[in-house]
Amino acid sequence: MNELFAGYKGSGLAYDEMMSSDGVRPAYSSMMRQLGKLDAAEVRAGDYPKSTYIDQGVTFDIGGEERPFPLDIVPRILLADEWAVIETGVAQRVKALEAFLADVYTEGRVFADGVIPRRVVASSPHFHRVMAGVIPPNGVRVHVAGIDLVRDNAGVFRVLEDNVRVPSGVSYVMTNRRVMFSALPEVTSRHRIRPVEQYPLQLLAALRAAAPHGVTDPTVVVMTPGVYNSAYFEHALLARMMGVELVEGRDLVCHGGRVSIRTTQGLRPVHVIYRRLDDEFLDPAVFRADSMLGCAGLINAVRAGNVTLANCVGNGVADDKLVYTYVPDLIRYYLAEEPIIPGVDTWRVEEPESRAEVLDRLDELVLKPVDGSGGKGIVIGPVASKKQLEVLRHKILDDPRGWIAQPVVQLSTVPTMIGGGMRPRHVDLRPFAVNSGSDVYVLPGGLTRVALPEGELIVNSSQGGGSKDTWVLARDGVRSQRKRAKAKPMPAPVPLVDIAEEKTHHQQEQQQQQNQLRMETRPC
Amino acid sequence: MLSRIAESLFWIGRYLERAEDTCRIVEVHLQLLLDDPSVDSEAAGASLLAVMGVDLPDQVDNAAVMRSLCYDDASQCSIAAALGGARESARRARETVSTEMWESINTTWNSVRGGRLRLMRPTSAFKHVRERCAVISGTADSTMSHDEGWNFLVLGRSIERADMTARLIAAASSTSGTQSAWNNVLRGCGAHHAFVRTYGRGHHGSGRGRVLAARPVVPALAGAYPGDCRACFGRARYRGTPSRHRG
Repeated sequence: MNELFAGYKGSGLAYDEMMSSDGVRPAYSSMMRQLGKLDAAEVRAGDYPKSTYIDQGVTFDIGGEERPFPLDIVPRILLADEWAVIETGVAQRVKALEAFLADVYTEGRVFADGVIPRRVVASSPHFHRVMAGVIPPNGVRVHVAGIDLVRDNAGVFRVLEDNVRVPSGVSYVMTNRRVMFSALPEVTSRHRIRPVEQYPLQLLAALRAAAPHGVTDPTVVVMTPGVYNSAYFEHALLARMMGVELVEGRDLVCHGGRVSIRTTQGLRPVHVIYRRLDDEFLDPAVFRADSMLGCAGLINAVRAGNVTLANCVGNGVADDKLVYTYVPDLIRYYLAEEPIIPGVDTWRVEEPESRAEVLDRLDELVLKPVDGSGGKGIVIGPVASKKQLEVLRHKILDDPRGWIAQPVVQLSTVPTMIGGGMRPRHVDLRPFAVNSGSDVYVLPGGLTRVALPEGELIVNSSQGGGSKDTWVLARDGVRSQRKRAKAKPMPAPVPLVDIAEEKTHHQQEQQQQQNQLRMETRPC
Repeated sequence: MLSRIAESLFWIGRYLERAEDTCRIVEVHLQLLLDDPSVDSEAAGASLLAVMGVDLPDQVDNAAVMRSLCYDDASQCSIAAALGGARESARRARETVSTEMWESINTTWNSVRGGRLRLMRPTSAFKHVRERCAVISGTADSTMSHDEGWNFLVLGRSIERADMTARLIAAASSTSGTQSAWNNVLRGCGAHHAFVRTYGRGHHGSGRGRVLAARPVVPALAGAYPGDCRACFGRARYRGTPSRHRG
């Protein structure tokens, strides 16, 4: 143990990812050693990431104010074996949800076979009948997914929720990595970390693969709600890294079932739209009529098969938290496989006997609204006041379909720099998956969010969270000493000498002699 | 390129030029007051503010001039507001503007916003703004692709430069109009050196004439620019439906 980590121990029940009862876990030992060699004061100050983020404008908006997303100096590290489980588990889940969405919006076999009641889907606010019968060009509805994982007290990863509408956060994965490489080269160079840079290319490939039939060279655009959106930075970054236009609703025109963008050279047709706004705002002619962010006629063009929206409209059915409770069954039904990553035990509040139990134990459970995201509306029983629980009880009785209940999961902890010392803080993990139709790519790493207040279990950035760089180590993860590669033939160097140098030298000499001459001849 | 992005680039060009030129104008103004003791500073301040299109405050002293032309985020004509406008436009065109350019605009804005400019001494504040603007345009020149978008940027810059140079000359002529005033104007444009090299010290003529005569050799002077604007218009061949500036 070095000075920086001296006295660090986990916090009670929760699984600490660095310390076990037998000492430091292998994934973290090299990082701890290397970080300890640095000047402790410099590491503690840790302003490097913050000032870089302010200069580069790596921010998110809260209520109209731009803030840098706090990046912690201690990375979160996963070994190759741990990652292999997550990778296959996430891909499995995405495939099952794809199959489920395809089924829901076409035949509905899953209802006929009694795996999930039709009313669960039909009563979801994100089920859009307007998409019934629409089959996307390459069959993909979930082009991008973010599956939120947590680690329970035994260190087992569990799925907390699925995000197959517009998951965000991937930009921080890329910027965090770049900042860590420049802030801690001594530490990063000693690890073989799987790179995250290829994400935009994978995404672009998946988007191009989703182009409407007959379009060989599709025009892809990223659609943003605008600069005031909390994830605007991410939209701009993705557009820039993919080399495509970033458009707003007012840049689009729909005519005759086709979509174009307004350019300086006139209208130009668009084929694939990676949209980063919610279904409800996409098309004022179909959804919210007061939407200023979308473009009327968009859904028509999608139905006509002339433009592809990624992700598909109506995906919200699959990340409804009530449907979440059925996902293990869906995996067995569609893929004939056992779920690789388990979920968290969940009570369906709409079922009378569960409801009775949940209402009885409100003060020890976590209650979540089924269509909330970003930690909105969650009530954690043990820390809620009597009054809050009373309000909650009424809400549940009013709308049992709107709630699920889970036991309190103590999220795992990772050492985090708080006020100059290392403290255990709770983290989650959001791996990102891109489905190109032929295979599911899972970005090695994903976004680790950390709750900065002590004991806080909600890690969302809108709730005052920060993030950590997530390192997935390659098989032979830690470099002890850099191995010298065999000498390769090198090109012969061209000397960097100014050809005029010799001449200048002579000139200088002569000028100096002139001076001397003059001094000598000066009469005294 | 998207029409909206073209518009943003045009405004980045205008706002950056406005910040730099306002800085030069105020510098010349303060220098004139020092050089020519016969000038009534209140009247000079009032005419400068009028030329710059600011509503006149009750009392026009140097502090008021500095506030409304330099520090005040809320004043339309201030350097701080112009840099804020440039930054906001760049944020809207963030995927088109090169990373380096965005970063230099953003750092500049971070260094002046929220009254930070006021904390510096006026001379260092002016120097800071001029240098930052030079860094931004240098970065833009070497890191942005010189395509259609670039033409919109240069177009905005040229139009604004013509506008601001006209204001600079108008302000100086209504304030003083002596020979040394015109030398100051030339210095304010960063043109004095070039002028002397071209015409020599012995060049005489009316003050305004002297300055305007410098236009073929000095980039910062208005006369050279209508041609540039025309060229940009020609290259950009704007055919899309124009939309109003919502920036």
